[in-house]
Amino acid sequence: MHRLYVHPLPVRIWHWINAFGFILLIVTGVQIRYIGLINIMPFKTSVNLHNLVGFVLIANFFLWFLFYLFSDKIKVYLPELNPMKHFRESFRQMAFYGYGIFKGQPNPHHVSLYHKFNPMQSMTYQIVMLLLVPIQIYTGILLWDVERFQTGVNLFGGLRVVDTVHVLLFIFFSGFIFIHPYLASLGHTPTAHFKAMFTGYEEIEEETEGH
Amino acid sequence: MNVLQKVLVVDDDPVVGKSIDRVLASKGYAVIAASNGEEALNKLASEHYDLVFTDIKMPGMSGLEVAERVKASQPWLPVVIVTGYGSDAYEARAAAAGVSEFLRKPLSPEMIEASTAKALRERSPAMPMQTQPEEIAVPQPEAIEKGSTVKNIALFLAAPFIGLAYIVAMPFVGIGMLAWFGFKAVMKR
Amino acid sequence: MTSAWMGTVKFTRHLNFAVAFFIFFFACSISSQAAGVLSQDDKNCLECHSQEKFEKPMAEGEMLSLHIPGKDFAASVHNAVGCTGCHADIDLKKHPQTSKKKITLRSHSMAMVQVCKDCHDDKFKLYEGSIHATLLRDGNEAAPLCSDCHSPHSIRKDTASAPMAEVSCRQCHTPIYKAYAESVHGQIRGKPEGGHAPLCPDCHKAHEVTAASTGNQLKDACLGCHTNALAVHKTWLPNTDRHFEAVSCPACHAPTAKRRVNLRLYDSIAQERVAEKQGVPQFESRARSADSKGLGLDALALQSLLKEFNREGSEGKTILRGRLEVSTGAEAHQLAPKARAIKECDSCHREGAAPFQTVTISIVSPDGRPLHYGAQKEVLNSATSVDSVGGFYAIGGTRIKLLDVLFVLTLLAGIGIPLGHMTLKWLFRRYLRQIEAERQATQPQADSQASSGDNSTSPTKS
Repeated sequence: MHRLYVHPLPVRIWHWINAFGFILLIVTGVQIRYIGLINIMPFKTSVNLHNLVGFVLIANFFLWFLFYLFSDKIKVYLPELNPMKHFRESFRQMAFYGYGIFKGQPNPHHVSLYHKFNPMQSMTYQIVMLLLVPIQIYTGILLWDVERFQTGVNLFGGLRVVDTVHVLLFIFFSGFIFIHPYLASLGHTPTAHFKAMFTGYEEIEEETEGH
Repeated sequence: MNVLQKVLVVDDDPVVGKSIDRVLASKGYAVIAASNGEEALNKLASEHYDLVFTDIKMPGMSGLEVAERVKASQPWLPVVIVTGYGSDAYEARAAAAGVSEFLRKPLSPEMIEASTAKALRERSPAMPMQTQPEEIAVPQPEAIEKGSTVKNIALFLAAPFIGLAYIVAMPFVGIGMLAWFGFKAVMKR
Repeated sequence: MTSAWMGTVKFTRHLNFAVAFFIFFFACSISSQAAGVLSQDDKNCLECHSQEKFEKPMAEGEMLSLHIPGKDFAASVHNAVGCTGCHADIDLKKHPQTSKKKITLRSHSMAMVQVCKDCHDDKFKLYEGSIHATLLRDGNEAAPLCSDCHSPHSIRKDTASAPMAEVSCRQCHTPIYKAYAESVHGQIRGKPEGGHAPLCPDCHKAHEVTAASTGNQLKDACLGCHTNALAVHKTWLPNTDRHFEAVSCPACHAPTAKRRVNLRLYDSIAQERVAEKQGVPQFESRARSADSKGLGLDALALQSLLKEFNREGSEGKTILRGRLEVSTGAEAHQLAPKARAIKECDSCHREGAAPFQTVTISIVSPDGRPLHYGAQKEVLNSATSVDSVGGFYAIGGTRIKLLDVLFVLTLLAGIGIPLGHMTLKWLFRRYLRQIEAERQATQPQADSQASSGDNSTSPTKS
C-alpha cells in the first residue's frame, strides 16, 4: 500500500465548495419550482439564495477551469483518442461494477497521477464539467435577468426553452448528487475516496495477482 | 558542460512516455518515445542513448526481449523495466538479463527520478564515451512543451464532444459486441 | 411713541390691502363682463332660443332641443364666435325654416362635426386616429361625435378641471367609470376639495383614444406619473424588467381583479403585435378550424395555428408573447392603494395559481382592438408547447408536467440504484468471503497458474 498525491489543493477546495453549492442550489431550486408542495423557506429568499450561490459557483468553476487549463493536470481531462481502447476499458469497468465487484474481483482501473479517472468516469466528467456545467451556468445567467439578456434568450429559442434546459440539467445534477457519493464509497474501504478528497492522497493497493 | 542525457521510453501507451518526459524534461534529459520493440531497437542502433525504460506487455516484441537484446548489443546501457503486472518469473528473467531496476505501475514522479538517477549512477564504467554531435538532432524540450500545451488545451476543450460521441456510440458498440459473442458461440456449437 | 408708529404702520397696511382688493375686484368684473357680454345679434337669437322646452321634432319621433341657456353661452368660449359663427347656414329671412325632410338627431350631430372641424382641425385629426372614429367609420351608431362629449353652447376653458362626475366618458363606459370612481385614483379625484389624480383623458388621451390593451401607452401613462416605480420595484422584485414587460400594472395593483394569461400573436421581426389585415379576417376562422372540439385551443392546436400564421407570412415570424393581465377593462380600473397591491411571489409562482387558469390568444383587429380566442389552460404546462409558448414562462406556475415526472424518476433512480447495488453486494457477501478464503489458500503457488483463473478478468494491459 502506498500513497499517491492525486488531488492537488485547488481541486480539493473547488470540489468541496462545489459539493455544498450544488446541494444548496438543488434545495433552493426545488423550493423555487415547487413552492406550495415544499415550504422550507419563502420564495423570495430561495430566489435570492439561489442567485447568490449560483454566482459563487460560477467563480468556483473558473477556479477549476483555469487550474486545469494551465497545469499539467490537464491530462486528467484529456480524452482517450483510441475508441477501441476506450470501449474495451469502459465495458470492463461496467462489468466490474455490475458483476465483478460482487465476486471480489479487483477494480480494473488503477489510479495514477494523470489517470485518476476510469474511462467511464473520465468521459462523464469531461461532458459534465466542460459541457453541462457551462450550459447550466449560461442558462442560469440568462434566467437571472431575462430582459437584460433578451437577445441571448431569443437565440436560445425563448424563455421557456432556456428554463426547460436549465431544469433538465437540474434533474441530471440531482441524480448525480445521489450516485456520486455512492460510487465514491466503493473504494478499497468505504471512506477511502472521501478521505482522499480531504488529504489529496489516494491509497493505492499493491497488485496481488501476477497474471 | 552539461549535455542532455537521452532517455528512450518504449511503451505502446504514449501516455507513459509523456509522463516520464514530464518528470525528466526539466531535469536535463531528452525523452524520446518508441511505441514498440522494433522501433526501439532501430533507434538504439542509429543513435546514442543513456537510458532505456521499457514496458513488458506490448504488441510484437515483449519488453523483456527488448531488454535482453539491448544488453546483448550495448551491455553498458542501463535498462529499467516498467510494468503494471509484475510476476516473480518476469522479475527473475529481467534480472538475468541485467536490467538495473524493475518498476511497477503506477509510477510517481519520485519513482521515475530516483530510478533514473540510480540507473545512471550505477552504469557500467565500460561505457564508451561518445562525442556529442547529436545535440542539434535532439528536439528542444521547450518546443515540445509548447506544442503539447496547445494540443492539450485543444483536446481538453474538445473532450466533452468526443465524450458525447462515445456515449452515443456506446450502446451500438455494446450491442455489436454482444451480437459478435453470440455469433461466435453459435458457430462454435 | 412706539405704539403711535405701530398704529401708522397698521393703517398703511390696511389701506394698501383695500386698494389691492379694489383693483382686483375691478379687474375681475371687467374681464367677466368681456367674456359674458353677448353681442346684439346673439341677443336677438336668444330672444327666442332662451325659452325652455323650445324643441323641434326630428325623424323617428326624436326631439331636438333648441333651448340655449343664455348665461352659459355667454360664459362659454364660443361666445366670441357668436351664433352665426357655427350656424352660418341659418338664413334669418327664412328662419325659422320648416323643411319637410326630417333628419335624425344623429345625422344632425354628424353634420355639425364638419362645423367643429373648420376651426378645430388639429383635434379632429387626432380624433380621426382614435378607436371612436374607427367605430364611426364602421357604422357604429353609438360612436361618439364631438357634441357627445363637448356641449357646444357651454364649453369653457376649465372644463378639464370640472368635477369628476361630469366627465363625458361615463355616459358610455359606465361600469368602467364606476370601477374608476372606487379606485385609488377616483377616490382622490372625487374628494370635495379636489385631489391630484388622473381622470380618463389623462391616461387614455382625449381625442386620440385608442384601444387600451393593444399598445404600451397605458404602461407609459402609469410610469409617466409614477416615475420612480421601476426603481422602487427593483429594490425587492427579482427580474424587475421582465415583470414589467410580462405583467400588466393592474394585474398586481387591482388585487380584486380576475387575472388571465394573454398570449399575443407577435411579429418578432417587425417587433410589433400581429394585426388582422383590413377586410381579410383570418384569426377567428383559423382558430376555429384548429380547435376542432370547440373546447379552446390545446397545445397541438396552438402549434398548428402558429404554423398557419407563419406559412404565408413570409415577411415576418409570428410568435406568441405571453402577458399576464386582468380580464376586463372595468377590472383594470379597480386600482387599489399601494399597500393592498399583490406582493406575494407565490400568488403566481405556484402550481394552480389563479392567473394561469384562463388563457386566451389574441390578435389586433383592424379597428385596433384586440380579438381574443380561448385556449385550454394546459397549454402552459404541456411539453408540446415548449416552442410555441416559448416566450411565456412563470417559474413554479407554468411548469412542464413532463419534467416533474422526470425529476421524480431521477430521484427514485438516484436512491434506488445505490440501494439495489448495496443489496446485491450484501447478498453476495457470503460468496465473497468464500472466494477470499480460497484465494488465500491458493496464494503461495498461484503465481504461474494462469489457466486456473478463468473467473477473474483478463489481465489489464498496463
